[in-house]
Amino acid sequence: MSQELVLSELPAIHGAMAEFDTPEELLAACERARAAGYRRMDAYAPMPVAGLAETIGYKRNKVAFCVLIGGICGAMFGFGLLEWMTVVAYPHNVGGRPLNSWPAYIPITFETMILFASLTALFSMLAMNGLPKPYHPVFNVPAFDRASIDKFFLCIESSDPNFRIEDTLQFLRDTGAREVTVVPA
Amino acid sequence: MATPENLKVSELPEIPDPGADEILGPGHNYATVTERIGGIVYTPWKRWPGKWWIGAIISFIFVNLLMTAMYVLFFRGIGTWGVNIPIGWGFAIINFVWWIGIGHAGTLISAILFLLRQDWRTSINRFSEAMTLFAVACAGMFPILHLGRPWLAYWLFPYPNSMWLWPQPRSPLEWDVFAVSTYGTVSLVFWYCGLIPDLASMRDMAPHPWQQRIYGILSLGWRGSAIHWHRYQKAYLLLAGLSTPLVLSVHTIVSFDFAISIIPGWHTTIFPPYFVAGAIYSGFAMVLTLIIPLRSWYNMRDLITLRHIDAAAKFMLGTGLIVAYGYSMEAFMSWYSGDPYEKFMYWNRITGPYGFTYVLLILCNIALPQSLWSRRVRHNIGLVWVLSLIVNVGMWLERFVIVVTSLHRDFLPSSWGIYIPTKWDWATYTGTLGFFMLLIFLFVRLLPSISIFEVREVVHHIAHPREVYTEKQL
Amino acid sequence: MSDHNHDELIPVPDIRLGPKATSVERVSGVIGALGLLLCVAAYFANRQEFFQSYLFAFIYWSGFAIGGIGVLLMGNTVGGIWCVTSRRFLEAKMRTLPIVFLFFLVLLLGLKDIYPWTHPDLVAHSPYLHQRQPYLNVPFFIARIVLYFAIWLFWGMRLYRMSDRQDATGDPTLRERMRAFSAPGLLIFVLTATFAYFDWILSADAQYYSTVYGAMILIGDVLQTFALTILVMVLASRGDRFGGRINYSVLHDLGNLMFAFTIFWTYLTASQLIITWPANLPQELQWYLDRVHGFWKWMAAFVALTMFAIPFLALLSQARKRDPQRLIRVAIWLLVARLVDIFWIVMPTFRDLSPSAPLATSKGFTIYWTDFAAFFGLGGIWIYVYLRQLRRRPLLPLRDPRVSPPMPEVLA
Repeated sequence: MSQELVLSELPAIHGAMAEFDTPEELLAACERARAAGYRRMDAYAPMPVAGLAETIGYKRNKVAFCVLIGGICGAMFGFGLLEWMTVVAYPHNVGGRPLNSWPAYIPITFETMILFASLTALFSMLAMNGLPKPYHPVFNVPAFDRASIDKFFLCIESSDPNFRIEDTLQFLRDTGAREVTVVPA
Repeated sequence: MATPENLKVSELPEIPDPGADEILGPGHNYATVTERIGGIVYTPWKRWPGKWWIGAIISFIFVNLLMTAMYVLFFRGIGTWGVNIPIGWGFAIINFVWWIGIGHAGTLISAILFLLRQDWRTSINRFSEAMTLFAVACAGMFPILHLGRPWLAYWLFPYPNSMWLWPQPRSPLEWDVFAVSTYGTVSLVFWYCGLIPDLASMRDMAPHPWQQRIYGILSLGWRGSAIHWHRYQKAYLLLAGLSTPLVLSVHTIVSFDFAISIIPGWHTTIFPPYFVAGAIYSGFAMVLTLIIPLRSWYNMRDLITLRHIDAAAKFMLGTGLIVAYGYSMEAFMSWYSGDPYEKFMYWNRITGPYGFTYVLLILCNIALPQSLWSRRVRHNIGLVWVLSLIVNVGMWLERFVIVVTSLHRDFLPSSWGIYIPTKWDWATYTGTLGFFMLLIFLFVRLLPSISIFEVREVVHHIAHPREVYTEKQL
Repeated sequence: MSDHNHDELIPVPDIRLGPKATSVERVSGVIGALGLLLCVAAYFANRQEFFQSYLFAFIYWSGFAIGGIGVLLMGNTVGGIWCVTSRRFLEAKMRTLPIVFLFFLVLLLGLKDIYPWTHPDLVAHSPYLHQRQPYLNVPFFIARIVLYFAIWLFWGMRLYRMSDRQDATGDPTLRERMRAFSAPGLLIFVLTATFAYFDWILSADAQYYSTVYGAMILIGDVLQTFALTILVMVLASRGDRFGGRINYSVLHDLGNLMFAFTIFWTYLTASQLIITWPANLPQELQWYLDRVHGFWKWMAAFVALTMFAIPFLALLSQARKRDPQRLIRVAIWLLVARLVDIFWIVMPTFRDLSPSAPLATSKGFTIYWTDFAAFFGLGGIWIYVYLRQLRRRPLLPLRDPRVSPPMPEVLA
């Protein structure tokens, strides 16, 4: 389908998308888009590409911080639980060992720390990524099926202040994209 | 995008192994690796290898045997097993430790080798993580069945009950509850986390809408955004970082089950590191036992190459030597200690009624695997496979020796005993083997058994060697 | 992360130790000589106290030489840029083995002041010592230790010569030969070092035994070796004398290894405690009771804090492992902590009153002036020999293709 048809018929546009064959081309295009003043964009790749997120302006990765907090909470929960169980809730003498048998509590404290930290790693990553997400406009592009297989995409979103549909499409064509399409919202 | 040729998988042209220096065969690009790995799942049933059917059916028969054994156990009680005082632990704990040990190599391959930047892990990590999960499932069954009243297993967890009773957290058996449940959960999280991008690939190459829908739901709408990848990689790295101490702690705690006691032969301080090494040893053996047939059945010799097998064999040799170190320390200290019970225990271990198990153990775990020093042996895939089986047997014997020979001679001769496993012991054990194998067979049928996106990274690395590290750096 | 395949273009510079190292060498030589004089005085003043202090100093300083050969064998076996780049620093540590052997010969004069198994009356009254007599007797003891040193030197010197030959000829087959030679060496090394620690420290205790003991001390040695290697490498590359070859990437690897061995040491130490504590067996628990009695308890807490908690938290940070100035602070910290750790492991056997300590010279925690004399005497001499060995050769292997490639990010 031709570009004009799409533009006239679509009520809303998510952005403009360019398709590339290699991660290097995608990286170069992202750099150019950034230099051209675009800020609201996203790059899509079938595998992690070193430096790609930084190129499109991503700065702080908060996953590690969340995991640290999760781990501390887990350790405190585990040790607190055991102390409370053996000293407060159900104090009784086992083989003459003290009520507060802290050397015996090290293993469980360690396990709860790891458990909480690991669950935090998965769920904080998913939450910050906004997953699960059953619908996203980029999937409206038929070629985007290959974003998880062997193709690399750059999508400049229509919410970007510099986004002008014709200019942006032309800009993407100039980056040497193999294919440029409009992403319906 | 399933295999385009209208051929059975087994009739596909033979793909040669690229040899011990390569982790990927020649001529691959991003699309071909996706097709090859994902295509295995999308191959129609009629083109599925016959060996898979035979294996799956045999496994299924053993699963039924397991069901029967469990039914008999629930109906008639623990008396159907051979355990009795003084040998109260028997097969249940031997198999528990054996299975959980096998699980550990999966986490090790995934997590530790990831941290060590060993690129050869990529083709086998997914598979070994699955192996971990299934092995933990088998392991977890045994202590619960051993409870006597397994339907009350939830009593093991601390929860506010009407009688305000709490489990005893000074006991290593309670540590086990936390360790094994944490391990199962974290292994699942790690495995699933690694699967998300591949599930998206499966979604996008699905030949049927229903397959697309199922993989679509499982992939959580993953779309490969650069920022998502960034957080994803961080989360995966952290999970690897957390799994590494976790896997060590789990087998450490399993070793505490024994070492915290004062039973001669159990109470010894080398147990934690040597149990961990033994776990990794048996786990690598199981990985080799499974991937060597798998790569030939599914024609994946260019994805799982001689290099993977060589590296795994070296790991097996190294961890086996740590285990040997553990045996020597135990033997020396039992004499050096001057404790008559310790001395008697070790002497009895070698010369007592179960002496033959000790001799076999040394043969399987220490003597025969030394042949892996030779490169010729490591590169003879059939021989490596046989050795991996031998190590599996050896590590099972090790747990038998530790559990049974330490218990059967109590402090007082009046309390001595002999343990003979019954047919239901064997049925339960072989039943879990069938259960494990069936899960593995279903796994290779339903999910990409090699991490596709990581192999894509390998493709990229091979194409751009200057920008990346390879194993040669390490 | 880093590149590996175009470093042949840039030759490895032949850089030696700078003049500052020479003055350190002189100063430590003087301190060592003075310390040895004090040792002689201590020997005549109080022989028993002196030899007990001497054992502590010997264990600490020999740890670098033993750790040096151990890390060298380990690095050659598993391979890695970090090992090739730090090889000269490890080889120099290995080359101090002869002087460590001399230190050991001095120790032979004081066997009766250290080891209860040399006293027939004690042996006659202790079932433990009686049992151990076929193993713990003076001739066998000496023969074993001579054998350990012979094995370590055999493996160390062959690797040393192969490394020299590689510098001279650049023979590419040497790489694989060093690896093939090191793998069995590592196995034998671990066994011999384990027994060396049984002989030197464990046997001073009249009843204690623990299967993990040797491994625990040995892992601590490896840890202190990594700490010293990082310290000396960073100091020697001040002002980027190596043209970016000793760079943040190598330091990051070494920092990670130091981190890993901190955890490994903690793991072995903590599991020994967790196994011994609940079992509550008298012959084992006495070892811990001696070590938490009176002031020793505070020292135990100090060791837990300084060997584990603080370096663990410090090394969690990726940035710190890549910043040489901050990394060497952790290394120095660990070197001091290890000193306290060794003191806490070795000395309560001689400074406490318990069935484990029949040769005690005091009833509880004490520090004698002989501790300082022995520590500075052996330490000064050891550092002097180490730096002299380090000075003899280029600080980086000249023709090993795996030596770290130059990186633009230079060290400050």
